[in-house]
Amino acid sequence: MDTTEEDYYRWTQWIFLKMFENGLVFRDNALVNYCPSCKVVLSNEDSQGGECDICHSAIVQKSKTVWYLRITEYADKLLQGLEEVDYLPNVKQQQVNWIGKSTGAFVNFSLKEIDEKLRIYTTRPDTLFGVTFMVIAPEHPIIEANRDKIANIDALDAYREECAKKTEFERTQLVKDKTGVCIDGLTAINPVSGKEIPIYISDYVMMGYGTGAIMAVPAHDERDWAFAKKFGIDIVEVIKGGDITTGAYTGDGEMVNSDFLNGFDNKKDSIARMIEHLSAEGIGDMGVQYKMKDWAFNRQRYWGEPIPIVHCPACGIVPVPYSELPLRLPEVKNFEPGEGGESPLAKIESFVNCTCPKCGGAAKRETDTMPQWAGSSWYFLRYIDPHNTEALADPEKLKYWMPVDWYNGGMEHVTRHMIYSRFWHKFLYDLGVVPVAEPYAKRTAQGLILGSDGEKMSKSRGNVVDPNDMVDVFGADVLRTYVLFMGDYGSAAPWNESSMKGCKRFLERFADLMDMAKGSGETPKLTSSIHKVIKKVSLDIEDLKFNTAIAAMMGLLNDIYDKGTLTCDELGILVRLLCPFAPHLAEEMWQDLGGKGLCSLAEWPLWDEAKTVDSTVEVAVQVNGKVRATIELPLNCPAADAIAAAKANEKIVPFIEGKTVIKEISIPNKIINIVVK
Amino acid sequence: MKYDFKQIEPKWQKRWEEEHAFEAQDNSSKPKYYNLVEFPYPSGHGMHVGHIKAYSGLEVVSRKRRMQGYNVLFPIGFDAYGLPTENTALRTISIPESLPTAISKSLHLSSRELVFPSIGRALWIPPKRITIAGRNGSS
Repeated sequence: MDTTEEDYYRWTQWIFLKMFENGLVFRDNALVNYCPSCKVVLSNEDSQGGECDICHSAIVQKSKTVWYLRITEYADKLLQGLEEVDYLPNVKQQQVNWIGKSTGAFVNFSLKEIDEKLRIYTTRPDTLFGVTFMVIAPEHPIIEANRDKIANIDALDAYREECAKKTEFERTQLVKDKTGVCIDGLTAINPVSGKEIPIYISDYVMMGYGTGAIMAVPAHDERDWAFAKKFGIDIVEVIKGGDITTGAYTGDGEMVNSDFLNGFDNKKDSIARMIEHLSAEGIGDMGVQYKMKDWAFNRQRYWGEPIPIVHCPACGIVPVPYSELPLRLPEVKNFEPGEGGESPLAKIESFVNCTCPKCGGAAKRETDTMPQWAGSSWYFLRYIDPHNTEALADPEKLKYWMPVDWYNGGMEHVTRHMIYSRFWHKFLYDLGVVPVAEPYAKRTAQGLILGSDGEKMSKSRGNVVDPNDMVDVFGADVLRTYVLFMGDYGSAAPWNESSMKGCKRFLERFADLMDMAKGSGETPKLTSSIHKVIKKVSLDIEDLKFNTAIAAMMGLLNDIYDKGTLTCDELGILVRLLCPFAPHLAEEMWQDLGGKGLCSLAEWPLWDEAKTVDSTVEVAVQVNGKVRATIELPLNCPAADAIAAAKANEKIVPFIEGKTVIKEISIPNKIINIVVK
Repeated sequence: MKYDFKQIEPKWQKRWEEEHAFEAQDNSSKPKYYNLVEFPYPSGHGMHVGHIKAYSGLEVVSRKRRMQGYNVLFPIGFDAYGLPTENTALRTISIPESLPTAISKSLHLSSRELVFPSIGRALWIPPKRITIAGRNGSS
């Protein structure tokens, strides 16, 4: 199965159209992250740190109309769903942080000069009495709308021009001097204190986040404090506990200078009381916000699923009918991206020009393609029924196979890919297409393999190991065993060829057990070691502790060679334990042992808990306080039997012969002391 | 017993394939177990040891589950749309040649079946087996 097959991507397009039908697809003109090297618009997630995820070039801001998926509509469901799944704790935490839900309040600030309000969102409405200024994004429309009322519009324009050159990352993340310009001509009113407060524009406030305006509480927010100090703005303390002349106080404490909140000393209560006041006065409401933004679902590149939309001059945006799917990607000779972020599809007239499915008039096709993450957002469903022509998968088969019981992958995919695919899945669940609300019951992650120098493998470092070379020299079983033995599965571990050779030696010695194994039944001296190892391997596999499972088998091998005896029945158990790790060798040995059918399908060995306890113990024997011998006794041997065995031991006899035994002490399973005179 | 992997490994791969030993069954009375690993994109560089580690974990779990009596689905495919593939194609193939053709010709990721005999044989056709030039002996 391959996401580029027509049989596959027609269903990717089908899901997109279903989302369109259900109001989860929209177009918006936005400042987008544009990679000048890949010539493509990137989502915030694909341009973290201000650079392109693919080529690492610095990204620039560009204004463009693009498609979005309304993933924020599913934010709560995505959060709640985490309660019913078994993900690694850090995987869950990363998703919670990525969604970034906060509760607070929306508050409307009146303006002195005009009959308009500035709406802000805050998680700290309890500090409203401490608001001494506001900051709005340089792009905020209130500026354009009131140019004639603003005395220093030239200064604002100059500042805005500088801003347009910066990326969002530069504006919001880079630590630097706070810059900004006070708007001369627009003044806000603090809605609880009634005081007039200045409004600034500053680049760190983005139009795309929240409402494009913030309230500032310099006494209790570090960034606001630095800004207020620089511009000489009032700082009003509303929470006791710090020294606001030297810095912002961000801790908790008793409310002051806050009218009806004075004396409150619990943040939760203060917030609740303030929200009650805001609602009652009609100046604000409780509100919820998410860090997660709607998903910029587009790419101006050739190699992706065409977005099945037609632009009709008469009907507007019209979806391609389901019956016309798949909308095929045209075969072209030149698929290099166009300059300025146009999709190369835009140059292909035979693709672009079409008739409107609604009115039959001349129309044009959408030329953007779907982003990287589309095909992987539902692939686990298609695996279940890859050749279905009637549906993305048969409902009965989905009912049997879903959810995925265990999903393992890289930590780099636990937010974007996993959240996007959970979103698609939840949408399909709401449509009734899939039978369960969560696609993945369990999620774990593996660590990287580093080069033998401990650095990430890369061509430039010359530390890359080619698995095919390893298979040629050592075989697949050794390679498999080694990558699982090299360290904790979830952690990064460096490549070490001598450890690989150790695994080869392990399998060779394991194969040699064929020459030792004789007869049937149990070897009493080995019974507890074998049951312990069955238990350890069985449980360790469930915890992805492959390294300790393999180490336990290695230890058992030493034990067996020490004892020098093993039955064929016991070897049959060991071969089945080895089978998941080194299946080829296991099959060969299973066959030679006369095992029924394939070892890979033989029954997994079960351990007997009672037999995991050592059956014999070594006990030291002292005579007059000095250790004279060590004897092997059955576990929990009765004192009388233990002492009798000690006294009969040939090393002990010379020390007690002809003497009077005064005292005999037996500490079970540990020590026997005989005192003689 | 002499451990001769060169003799043993191809022999059992052939047996597994002939007997469809690891195919998931759609109409089974057995309990099901669905293991999933992130499918690779064609990088043009073949398989990396990182892939071996990423896939061998649940490969081991899948094998254990089969021996425990489960009907196991452990599939693999290719995430072949997207920038990495297209950028690789732009870098490595001679334009003008259409991308889909070029990709099916030269870009599929190498998945040596000997390393993951049960992957790709779970339910449907095996993934297009690539052969990066000069590596796998068949191209």
